[in-house]
Amino acid sequence: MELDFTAQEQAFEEEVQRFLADALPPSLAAKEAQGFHLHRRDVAPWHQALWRKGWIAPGWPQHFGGTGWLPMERFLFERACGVANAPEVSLIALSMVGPVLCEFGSDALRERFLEPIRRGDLWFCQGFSEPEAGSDLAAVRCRTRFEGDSIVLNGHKIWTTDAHIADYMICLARTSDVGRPREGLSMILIPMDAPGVRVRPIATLDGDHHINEVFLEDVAVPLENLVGEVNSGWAQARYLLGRERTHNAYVGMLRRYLARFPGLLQRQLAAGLDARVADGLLRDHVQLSLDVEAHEWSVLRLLADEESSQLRAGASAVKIRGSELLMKASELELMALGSQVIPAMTPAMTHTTAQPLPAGAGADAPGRVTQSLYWRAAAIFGGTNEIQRGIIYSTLFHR
Amino acid sequence: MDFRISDEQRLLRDTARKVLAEATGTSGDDAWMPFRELGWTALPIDEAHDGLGGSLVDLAFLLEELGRARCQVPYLECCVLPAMLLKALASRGVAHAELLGSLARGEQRLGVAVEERSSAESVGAFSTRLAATPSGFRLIGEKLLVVGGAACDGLLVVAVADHETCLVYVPPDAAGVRIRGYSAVDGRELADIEFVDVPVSESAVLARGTAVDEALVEAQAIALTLQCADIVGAMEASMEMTAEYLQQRQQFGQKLASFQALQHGMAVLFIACNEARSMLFRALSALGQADISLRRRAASGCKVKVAACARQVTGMAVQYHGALGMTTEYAVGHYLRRSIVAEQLFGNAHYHLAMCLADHAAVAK
Ligand SMILES: Cc1cc2nc3c(=O)[nH]c(=O)nc-3n(C[C@H](O)[C@H](O)[C@H](O)COP(=O)(O)OP(=O)(O)OC[C@H]3O[C@@H](n4cnc5c(N)ncnc54)[C@H](O)[C@@H]3O)c2cc1C
Repeated sequence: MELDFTAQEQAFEEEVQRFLADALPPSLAAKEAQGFHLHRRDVAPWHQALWRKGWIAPGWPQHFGGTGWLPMERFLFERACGVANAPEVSLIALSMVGPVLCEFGSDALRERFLEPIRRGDLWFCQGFSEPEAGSDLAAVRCRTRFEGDSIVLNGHKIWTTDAHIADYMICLARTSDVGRPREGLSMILIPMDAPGVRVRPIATLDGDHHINEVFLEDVAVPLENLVGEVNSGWAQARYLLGRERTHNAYVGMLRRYLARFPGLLQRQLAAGLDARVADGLLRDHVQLSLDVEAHEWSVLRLLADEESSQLRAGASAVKIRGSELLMKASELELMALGSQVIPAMTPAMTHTTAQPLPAGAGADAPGRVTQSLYWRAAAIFGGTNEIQRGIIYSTLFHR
Repeated sequence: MDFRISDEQRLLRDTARKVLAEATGTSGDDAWMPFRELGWTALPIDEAHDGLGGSLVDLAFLLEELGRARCQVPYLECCVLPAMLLKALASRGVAHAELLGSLARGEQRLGVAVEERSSAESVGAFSTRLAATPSGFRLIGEKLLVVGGAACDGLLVVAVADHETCLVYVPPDAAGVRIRGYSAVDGRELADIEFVDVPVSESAVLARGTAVDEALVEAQAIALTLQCADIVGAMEASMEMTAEYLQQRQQFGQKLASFQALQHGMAVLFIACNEARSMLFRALSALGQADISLRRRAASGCKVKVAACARQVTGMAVQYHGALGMTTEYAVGHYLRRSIVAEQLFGNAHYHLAMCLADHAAVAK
């Protein structure tokens, strides 16, 4: 056992921190820190900076433009980005479509998509879920018809993040009714401007717009847009899950919450918060910090491949805990802000506005409720926490 | 970072698991025998003193097995803790090689007497005192909760002389030593010890001053972390027992394991065990740091987290066994008892959270 970061890893982390200090625009970091959903154009300068540095696609194989980092380095990078309030860049394109194309895509598909994704010219959305296929993803119905050199799709996708700003959808569609339901699925790339694609926004509790319904009516795409072998969509999805074991642990985001809490508390004390209340909040904060430390070490153990038999269970465990801890962390901020979080706020309402914010809210308040509500979704997407508990049981205890 | 267990550690763990399972029910000297014969008493001590120079991670693996086996031998308290205390003193220039050697060879078991009736928090504020006499000193005071104190070969007593903390070696059969032994809820043996004008020679005062204060902090941080390893072992064993029971017990015409509520409950238990283990590794890592306050804080944080997880896991393990879990005949409830005692020994989660909070407030200022 070697329970320390190596000198090399420590040096790497410092390098990342220096880069963040140089290259992340402070105004973007401030906007991201608020917690409202950022638009593609907001994130673009950061995407460019990462691309120029060669750090845009850490998860890809090196010969396709990846960084060649080890899992521990990727972790340190993501953690430092989280703490520095760096926004996420097109997650679906870079963490999902890219690796899938690198592993399964034809040369032609790689040629068409990998470089534009790296440059930030192509955004993707992920069209997996359907009204009747949620946790039971294998129940996907979206129908396909092969016509000459084309595939024609008909279906109804829902909860599709970023469909309204994406250039393409990676769509999980049914290409066969033979055998088990999961054996008849394929991944197909669909241009969002193709005739027959219709996007309808879905309003969410947090007050932002990020998810949509997507209707596909006789949408024709070239046959070559089908990724890899026909009917291998399930295997491709499994491959992805295996690679992105710890992304949903949200260590960077949790560190961000922990890092800013003492300052928030100080400002609230200065603004008249009762010292006894502050004591209680600080106590909860220290308890939460310990929970996050344990969580982070669970992630480190996964990255270091501690014991392979427990990997799947461990990955589900950190997914569950990541969402639970985020909900806790964001709720603790709401407690510290008190009645300042009552007014409904929009990204336009910042402390730079000449008008004072409603309810005496300070600069820390806008975005906090929005983000806190959004973290509910972290327990739902990517396999709900109930589904994850099922995975833990069947991995470890089922006989 | 590398979390892979080495071949030697695997051997240590597997041997301990087998030997301790076979030794269930033994007590006294018989129970200590494997600790001597398998070199476990030598593990915490360096090679220069007849030890094996084991690492803290090695010790953690062994302690986990003690927890798993619900072993009552006060190995942590009467071998590891005194060894760490003496080592910490030695690193500050106060060497007691013969004591370390006898611990390593298993010739002596040393009770460590720190705790008092009104636990004084500020360093050096113990009420047990050493008074000077023409021929040496007298020890006066009372110590509580000395684990293994009624069956040890020597006592290391923390006392105050001239406003300085000192560490005194006292033979348990010295005149004026009154030992009141008792059992804990989980069956381990403790003692409260009164010192009524116990004569102490100059040479029995092992160390004085800041060396003792610092050595105590250092040794206690290690003992606290290793205690957490014991708790982690107990938790994991109770989780495994519970999974096993759900496979066997039938109700409503099917095994309990087929009910999803219970399956998800097991997943929650795994998460708690997993996090406790992660926290243990974090503390073991932090104990290698130079800054002693970081070590102390990491050990405190470890206890907060591990104790909370243990409460959850050992409690739910009883719940999932139904009435059987409430019986003393069945093992699962004994893990609950063990974790209740372990939580309160060396300071409970509330105490250690307060320690973390104090550190935090100090850093903020
Ligand atoms: C903000 C947000 C963004 C999303 N973005 C995308 C996206 O970009 N692309 C995409 O394809 N999808 C996306 N999703 C959809 C997400 O993947 C699904 O919501 C998720 O898979 C759950 O499906 P469902 O909502 O149909 O819930 P259901 O499957 O209907 O589940 C409802 C409840 O029942 C529980 N449940 C279901 N089955 C079981 C079982 N067997 N045992 C015990 N409990 C069970 C669930 O845990 C849940 O609590 C997004 C969702 C959200 C909230």
